[in-house]
Amino acid sequence: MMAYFRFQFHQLLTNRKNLAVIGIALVALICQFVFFPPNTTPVELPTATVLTRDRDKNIAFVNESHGPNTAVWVPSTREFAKLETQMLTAQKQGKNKAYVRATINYLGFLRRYAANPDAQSSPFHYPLTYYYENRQYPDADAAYANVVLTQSLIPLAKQAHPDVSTIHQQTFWQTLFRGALGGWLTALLLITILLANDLLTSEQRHRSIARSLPLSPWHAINTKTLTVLGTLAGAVTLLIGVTAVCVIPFHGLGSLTTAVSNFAKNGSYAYVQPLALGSALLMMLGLTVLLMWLFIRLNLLCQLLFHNELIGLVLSALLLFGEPLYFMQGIAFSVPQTAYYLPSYMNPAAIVNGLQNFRYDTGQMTPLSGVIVIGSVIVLLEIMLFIVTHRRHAATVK
Amino acid sequence: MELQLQNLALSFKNKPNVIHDISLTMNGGSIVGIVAPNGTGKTTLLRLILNDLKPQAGKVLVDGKSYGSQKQSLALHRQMCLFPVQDDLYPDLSGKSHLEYYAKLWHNRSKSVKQIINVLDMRDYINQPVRTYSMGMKQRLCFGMVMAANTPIMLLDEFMNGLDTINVARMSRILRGLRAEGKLIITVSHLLNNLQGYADLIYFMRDGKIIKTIDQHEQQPLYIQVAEENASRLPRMPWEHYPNGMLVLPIQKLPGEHFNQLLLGLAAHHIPFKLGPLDLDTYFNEFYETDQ
Amino acid sequence: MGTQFAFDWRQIIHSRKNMAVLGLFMAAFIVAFFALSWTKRLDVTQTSQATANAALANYAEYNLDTLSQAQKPLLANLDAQNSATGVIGLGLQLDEPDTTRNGLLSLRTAQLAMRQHHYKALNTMPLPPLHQLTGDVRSLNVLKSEGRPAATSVSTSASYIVLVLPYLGWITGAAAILLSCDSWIERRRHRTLITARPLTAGLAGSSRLLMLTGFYILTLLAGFALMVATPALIAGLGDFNYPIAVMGTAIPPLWQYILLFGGLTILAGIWLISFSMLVNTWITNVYLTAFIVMAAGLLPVMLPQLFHFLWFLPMPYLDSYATLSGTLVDRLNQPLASVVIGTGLLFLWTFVNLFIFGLRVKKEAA
Repeated sequence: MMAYFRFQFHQLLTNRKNLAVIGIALVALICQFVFFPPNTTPVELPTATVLTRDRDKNIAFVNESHGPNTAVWVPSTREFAKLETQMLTAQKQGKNKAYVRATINYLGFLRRYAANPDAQSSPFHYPLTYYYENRQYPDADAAYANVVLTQSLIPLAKQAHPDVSTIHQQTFWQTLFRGALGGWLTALLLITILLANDLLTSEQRHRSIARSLPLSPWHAINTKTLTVLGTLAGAVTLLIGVTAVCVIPFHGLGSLTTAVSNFAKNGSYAYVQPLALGSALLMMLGLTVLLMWLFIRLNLLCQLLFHNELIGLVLSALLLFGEPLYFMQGIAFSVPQTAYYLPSYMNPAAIVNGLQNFRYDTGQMTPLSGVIVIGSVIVLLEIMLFIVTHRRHAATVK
Repeated sequence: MELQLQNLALSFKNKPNVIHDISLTMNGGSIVGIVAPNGTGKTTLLRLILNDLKPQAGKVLVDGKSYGSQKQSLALHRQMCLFPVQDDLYPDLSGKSHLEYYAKLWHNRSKSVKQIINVLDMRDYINQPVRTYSMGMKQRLCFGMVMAANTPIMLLDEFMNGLDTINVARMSRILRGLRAEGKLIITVSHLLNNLQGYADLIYFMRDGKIIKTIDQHEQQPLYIQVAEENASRLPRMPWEHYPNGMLVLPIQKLPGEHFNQLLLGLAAHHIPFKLGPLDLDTYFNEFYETDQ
Repeated sequence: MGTQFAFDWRQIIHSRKNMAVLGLFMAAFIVAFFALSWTKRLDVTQTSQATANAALANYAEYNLDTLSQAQKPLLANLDAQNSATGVIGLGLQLDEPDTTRNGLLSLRTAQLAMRQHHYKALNTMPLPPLHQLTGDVRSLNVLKSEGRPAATSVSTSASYIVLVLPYLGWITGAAAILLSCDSWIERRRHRTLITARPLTAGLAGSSRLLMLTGFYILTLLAGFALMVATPALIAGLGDFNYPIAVMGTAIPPLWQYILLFGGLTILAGIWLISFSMLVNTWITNVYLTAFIVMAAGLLPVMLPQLFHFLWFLPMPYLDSYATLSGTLVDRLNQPLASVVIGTGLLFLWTFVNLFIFGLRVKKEAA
């Protein structure tokens, strides 16, 4: 019934709590672009200054005299210095294709020789940011990032004139994906929870009106769900708009056929394959919409059963932020069921690009698994909602 | 349109027999008043009719149909509208938004919102947010909302609260008009004299039961009422003491010539008296004052 | 006055929001204990392994830097850190607490030397702040001299408290904000009831502040009780004389440190409550109030450079652990950000909040 939908939509958008949530999210997004832009050059791609310093250091090492312990590293250091020179030259001359090729070789070299606990005397290492961020497995994390970046550069190496912004993953479409991976989707889900959290309990303040409306509870909650989804569609549009304003003038739109990497595992064999950005964004959007639906229905169910906002809020927070309570890197190796826990599927971008597969050391956490896991919970919620709202004296307000 | 209450009963945990075996039949085209002191079950009865509360016994039938499955309940629900509580209005919305909301939800196409605004004289403030309204303005708005729903059954719970005499008269006039349209209006009101002016049937409730029914269309027994302070000057007759300080004598107990003599005697001795049916205030005092 | 206190107290304890905060606060300590035990997130094995990896990478970075002989001390230091992590690992593997403690002491000593000598790898090694390192070295030396083990994992009550201390400020701060975000808004919802009462705004405000503080203290005590009880049921109470450094110099036992920490946390909570009440006189939206107070509390974390100059504001001192350990001095690069000054500032700014609050309420009443 359009009248009820319009009315509820209006109520949702004029609720000061909801306006505060959206306002704060907007401010946070703008601040992020100002202070911590999500589209900075990946740390695996060293700047010209760092490359130059490192290249000069390597050349100095090659040119000095060596004892038996260090002489063994001279050929590889010479090779590394050569790769760094190629990168610097290509960058200076603006030859993007050559730069991409040199970068792929550079990344490959690091993968072969970078420091690891078994080869303690290796003079090569991954970007130092992986180490001072206090990670449990910085080499593994850096190796993953290395492989993933390499895979996304390979298609660019085949292009005649690859674009610098695309190489540095700074275009509009790439920023959307990186932002999603970096926390935008979590923020969107948080907004969903906060919008849905008092959909029914707020009607307690208008009890005599809410109780006398000629609407079935099922109809009422479905309409309310649509109003929240409508608002979220607006929020997503706003997000895209702000990103477009902050990115397109400087780095362009980019292409939806640009490759992102998808990490997968088949038994003990791990591999990275390219995935078109357009497909990745669509899959991510699909999973996000499913999660939004899940959180809205969960909160509605909690409000119907318990007539308060807190239980829904706590359950939703546990789902959204509960993964650290049980996550240990590589856990699926020993406890495979964790690959099917719902809190592990809260970042759709990490599911789509295979980061969750890497973290859990499994090949099970695919977008399809996400649909199945999230979908199963949604089906369960829908059944419960249907039963609760079709009881004889069911009402949305106590 | 016929509304039947069959042997309704409801008790609460700390209050047994709030509604105790009430059976009533009410038809469209009438105004029914329910009278009782505060906290004795009037609003509970309205909520039972609306299916907001579930009776422990008995049922509510509208044109022979009872509340059953959710679909059936919804169908009945569309036939009635409850007077909303003032505090439940949406403070940031305008009165007009409230009226349009109710009109659309109940698919009212016959009565326009503009008409309702004019009839209730709300033109000056109807577009302003409800939080700026006084109590009387909110009451009129709530009444307007029930009119906007335009349902065959209207449940009006203390809808005259906070209204001045002009608006009381206005509302009473509108009620008569709604009755003429064939609506069944069930009202709870403490303005008993006003209620007497428009209600067709008045039910008095006590201990969860209907203790007295007054059908205003029937001939009501006549009484002579005299103030108690004149007791010493009155002839010896079976006067009844009423809690409101009146002495009451039913005329049917008097033979014809005694009645004439009494009237002449009262007039000759300048004793003020009233001749007519008992008013609702007197009944109220009789039924409930003695309890206290 | 007693009547108003009792009334405010009843309102506070009948608030479902407040009881939910209390319940969640208590539940958080139980859940956190089991989560930390299971994931070993704060165990010294994880932190020392991360240090070992970083030391190797930095060694590789600077080993080839033959442009300057000055790197030799750095390389020796990185070697020392790496070896220390090996000793820690060995001690844990062989279940020798003394070995583990000595390894941890060597690690912290090497890290402290790196800080003090400003070696090149300062920004690329996961180093604790200077004051924390100084304090850790002192504490570990005390433990060594007394032959007691270091806290290396979340197991007993004492070790749980020791390892979780740096993070407690977040949860206690959140509790204070959630309890007080509607402290004065409630009055606006019952205006006719409240304005008719013969009560000055000052009394009403004081009563609300005191009762909220009382409930906050109750929440802290309940949480603390569970922090002690939950691990105690499984692994015992542990060593409550464990030395913890204050400002990198004094080494009180854990039970005394808890009293200091508790006192500072309560003071920080009082400031947050008074600030929330003040914000409520302008803003009647609970969520917005909570956001503003939270943002104010987070500013020193997000912009430490700014608070190098704004050290006299109370916000940096809301983190009780950072204030007590002296890491606040390192974070803001401001030697004036000490415990004593922080305590004084919290007191002072609480009074400022209450003063402005009084003015606002008087204006409202007028």
